[in-house]
Amino acid sequence: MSVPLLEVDNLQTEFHTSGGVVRAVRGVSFHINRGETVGIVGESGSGKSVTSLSLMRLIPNPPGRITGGSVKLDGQEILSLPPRQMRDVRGNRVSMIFQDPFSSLNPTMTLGEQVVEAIRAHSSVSKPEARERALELFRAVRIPSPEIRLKQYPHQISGGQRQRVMIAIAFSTNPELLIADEPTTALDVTVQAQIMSLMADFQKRTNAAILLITHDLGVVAEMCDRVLVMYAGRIVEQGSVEQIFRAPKHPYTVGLLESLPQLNADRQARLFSIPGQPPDLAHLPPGCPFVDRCPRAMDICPTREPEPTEPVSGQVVRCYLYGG
Amino acid sequence: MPDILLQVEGLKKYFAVTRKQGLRTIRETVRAVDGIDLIVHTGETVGLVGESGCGKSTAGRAILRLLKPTAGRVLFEGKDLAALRERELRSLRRDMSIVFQDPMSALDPRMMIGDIVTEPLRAHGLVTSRRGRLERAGQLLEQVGLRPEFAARYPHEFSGGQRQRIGIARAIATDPKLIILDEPISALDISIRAQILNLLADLQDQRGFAYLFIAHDLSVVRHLCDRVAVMYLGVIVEEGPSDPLFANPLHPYTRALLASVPVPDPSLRRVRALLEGDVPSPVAIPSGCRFRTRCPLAQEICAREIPPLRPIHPDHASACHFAETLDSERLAAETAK
Repeated sequence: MSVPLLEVDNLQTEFHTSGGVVRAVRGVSFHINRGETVGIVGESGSGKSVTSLSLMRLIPNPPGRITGGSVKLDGQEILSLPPRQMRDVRGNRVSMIFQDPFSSLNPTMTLGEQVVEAIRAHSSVSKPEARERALELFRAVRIPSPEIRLKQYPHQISGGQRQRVMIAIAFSTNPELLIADEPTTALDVTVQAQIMSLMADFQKRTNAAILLITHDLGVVAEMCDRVLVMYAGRIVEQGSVEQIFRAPKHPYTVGLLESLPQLNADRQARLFSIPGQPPDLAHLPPGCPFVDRCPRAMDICPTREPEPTEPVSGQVVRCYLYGG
Repeated sequence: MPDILLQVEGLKKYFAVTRKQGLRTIRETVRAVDGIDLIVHTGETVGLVGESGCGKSTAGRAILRLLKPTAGRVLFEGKDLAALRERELRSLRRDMSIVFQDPMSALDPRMMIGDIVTEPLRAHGLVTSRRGRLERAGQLLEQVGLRPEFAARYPHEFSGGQRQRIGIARAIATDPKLIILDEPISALDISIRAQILNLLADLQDQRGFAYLFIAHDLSVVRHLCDRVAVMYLGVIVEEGPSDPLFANPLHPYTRALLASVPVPDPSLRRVRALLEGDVPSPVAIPSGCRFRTRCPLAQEICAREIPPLRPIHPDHASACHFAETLDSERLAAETAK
C-alpha cells in the first residue's frame, strides 16, 4: 500500500492557562488516504478543533503548544518545517474552511479582490488571469450572478453565499487535503445540503482528501468514509462509517448514537441519555475519562487509561471491554 | 379534544428599517411575521419550525407580548391579550413563560441561582419573603434534576446543560399553563440534548404544561411534538399532526426541509433533491407564493396568486396550489406498492 496522504502519530497539544495545564489533545493517531473523507466527531472540549488546528500548526502560542508527536504530509514531516515552507503547505497543499465564514473574510475588501489575492499568493498568474479564474470558481460553487458578486463586500451577501466564497478560496489552489471545521454548523439545513454537495463534487473532480470536523452525526453518516470519535482529548474509537454506525463498540459512541432523536422513527416516550458531563481537561482523573458516565464501567476503569485495541479489522477502540 | 389554551389569529410583526443608498436613506419594512394563525390546546406540544429568519422566534415573542404585534389577536383562555389592562395582563403572564436558546446569556451573572429561579415569584408577588423564595428555589432546582444547594451559587459555576436546567426551573416557577421553548437545546452538546429533552417530557407528564416548541431541528420536533406548523418567510406553509406531516408532507418546502436533514445512518445516503438558492429577504417578499423562487414545482399561477393555507385533510393544512396533486401522487404510489 502506498503512503497515506496524511499520517498523524501520537499528536499532543497543551494549553497553559491560569486554571492549570489543559491537555486538549492527548496522543492522537490516524491517517487519511487520497480521495478519502474522514470525520472527527466529538462534543465541545473533546479536542477535535484543536487537533485540526495542530495539524496546520495554527495553535496560538502562547498559551498553546504542540508538545509531541508527528504529522506527515505525503511522507514529509511538517511539524518541524521552517515557517516559510509551512506557509507553502498551508496555501498550496492544504486548505481550511471554518465554521463562521463572516469572520474569515476581510470586510474592507470586495469578494473578488480576496479571491484574486488568494490565487495570486499561491501561483504566479497575472491579475486578469486570476480574475478570470475567480469567476470560474464562483460559477463552480454556484454563486448566482458571479460577475456582480465579485464586486460586492462580505456584508452584502448571505451566510450561505459567504461559505461558498470561502469554499471557492479553499478550492482555488487545488489542495490535496481540505480541512473543514464545522463548515455547515452556522447554516440552515437546506443550505447545508448545498454546501455538502459542493464539497463532494470538488472531491470527485480532484481526488482530494477531506478531514471533516463536526458534532453532527447525520453529516458524518452522509459524507464520511471513516470516522474518529473523540472524547477528552483522545480518539476513543475509530472505524469505517458502517462500523461506527452499525456496530459501535465504545460505550460513549453507543450512547451518542442512541441519544439521537430519529426523523424516521415513531415518537418514543423517552430518549436514551448519557448522564453527567465531560471531565475537566485541566484536572483529568487517572483512569478512563468516560468512567463516571459509563453504564458498563468495571473495577479497572478508574485506575488507569485503557490502550487502543483492534477487536475488528479497521475498528480501533480504547476500552477495557475489548482488552485495552 | 382538550380546551384551546392559546389561539393566535392573523398575527403580524413588522419592523421598520432604514438603509443608505449613496446619500439617500431608504425606509423599508421587514415583514418578519406576516399573518399567522395558530392554536395550542391544554397540555399539548406544538412545534413551530423553519429556517433562520422565517419569523418563528419573532412570532414566539409577539405571542408573549415581549414584542408588540403589528396586527392580529392573541387569545389566551379566550381573553384577548391586547384588550387587557396592564394589571390583568400581568396576572395572566404568570400562566405563560419562556425558555431561551442561549443559556449562557439568559441568566444574570450577578444574581444568585436561587434569586434567578424565583424571580417570577417575586415579580408577581407570589412569595414575598426572600427566605420563602430560597426555600422554594431548592424545590424547583430538584424538579429539574439539580441539587438544592446550587441555589447559593452563581451562573458562571455551571455548564451549558446545567444553565439550561436553571432556565427551565425559572420558567416553571409560577406553575404556568404554557411554556414557549425557543430553541432550548440547539446551543447544547449532543450528549446533553437528550437529557434536556427527557426533562421537558417528564415535566410535561407531571405538571401538564402546554409547550410551543420553536426549533429548526426537524428530528427533535418529530420526537417531541403532537402537532407541527412549518414557517417560511413569515407565514405558515403547512400545519398538521406530527405523524402525517412527517410521513406525508403536503408542501414542497416541508418536503425539501425533510430531504435536507442528514440522517445518521450511512445506508440511507440519498440522492437529494436540493433546493436552489437562499431564502429571499423579508424586505422584498416574492409575489404570489413566497416559496416559488426556490420551488421545484413552481408554475405561472404561483407568481400570480397567493395560495391560502387550507385543509387538505381534516386537520392537515397546506398553502400550496398543488397540495392535492402531491397528496394523490403519494396515494397512487402507495397503491402501486
